[in-house]
Amino acid sequence: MEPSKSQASQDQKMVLPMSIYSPSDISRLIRELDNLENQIMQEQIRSKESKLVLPKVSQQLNTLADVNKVDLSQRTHRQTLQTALAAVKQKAPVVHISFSSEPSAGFMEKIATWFRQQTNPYVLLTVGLQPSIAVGCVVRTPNKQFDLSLGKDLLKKSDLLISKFSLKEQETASGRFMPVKSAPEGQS
Amino acid sequence: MILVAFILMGVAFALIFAKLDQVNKGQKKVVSYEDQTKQEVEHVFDNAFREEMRNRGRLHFEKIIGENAMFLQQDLRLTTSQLNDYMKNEITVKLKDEFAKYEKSIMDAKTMAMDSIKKTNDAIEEERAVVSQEVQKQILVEKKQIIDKFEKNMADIINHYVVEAIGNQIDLNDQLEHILGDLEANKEAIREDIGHGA
Repeated sequence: MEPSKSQASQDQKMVLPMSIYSPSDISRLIRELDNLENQIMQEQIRSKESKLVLPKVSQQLNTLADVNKVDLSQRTHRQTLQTALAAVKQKAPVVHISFSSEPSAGFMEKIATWFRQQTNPYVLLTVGLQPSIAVGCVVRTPNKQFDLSLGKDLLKKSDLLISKFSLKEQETASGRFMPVKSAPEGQS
Repeated sequence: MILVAFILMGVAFALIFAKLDQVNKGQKKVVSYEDQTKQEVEHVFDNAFREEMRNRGRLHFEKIIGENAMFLQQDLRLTTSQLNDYMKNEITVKLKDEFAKYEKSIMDAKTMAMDSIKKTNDAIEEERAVVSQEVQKQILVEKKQIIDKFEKNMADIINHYVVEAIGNQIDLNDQLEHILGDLEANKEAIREDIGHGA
């Protein structure tokens, strides 16, 4: 479903909290909003009461509603939020980042903050695991890949390493380099 | 010498028979005194005298034979000695010639063997030099390949070493500043690509 111009303008106004950074978070929120809509509708049909008791929602949805000043008890607000989330899911740029180990939520929030402040406020992040990276990360944008790992850094500085090895080899050949004798056991 | 001995023996026998013949002729001429002469002859040249003459002739003949045998023996010894010397000289000369030829053959064979060994050594030396150059060239090529391969994979090797050595000890939170620095360094490219892709 293609969002309209008014919805697009609403999309621009919506703010994504930093705790919501992955496409799966958006999908989960959309599903939760659907469920919430259904539950509220069923509740209204059953109770016929004017006062609505809002079912319990997740922390992420609460945060999203608070940040965007959305009243989840209002049907129009929910629909607006759902539409905005659907538009984000459809249009937001997705960046894949690989790390050597599983990142914590706080770490990912900081990464998401940087991306949304420096590039696009609706950037979504997917996380991959690649132990060979050791230090750093590998960022894959829609069309490019940025290897910010230690291996790539070493590769860039291979000339320096080669010159160091050559220097060491010359020292060994000329006899100036003498291996350091290890201290006897028991002496540090 | 043997021939001379036989001739001398013949002359001696001829003289003896001539004397006997003269005695017989004198008996025929003096018939009157024939008997007397015959008796005297018989008396002078009796059987004992004849036997003595025969013995003397035999002894003389034996003496001559012995002398001739001695001469013959001396001559034989001399001939044998000369023959020995001659044979010795001839054999020596022949042996010298043969030895000289043999020595010459040995020297020729030795020269040929030395030439052959020298040629073989030269060929081996040339081959060794060629092989040595080839081995040196191969060693340099292999060394260059190894160095190139090492330089090409050096970053991976060090990275692998770092991962194995301290991979588990580096926390992502400690890397945050470094990662944000790298992102900041590539900010323009990331922003441009995200802008185009969005």
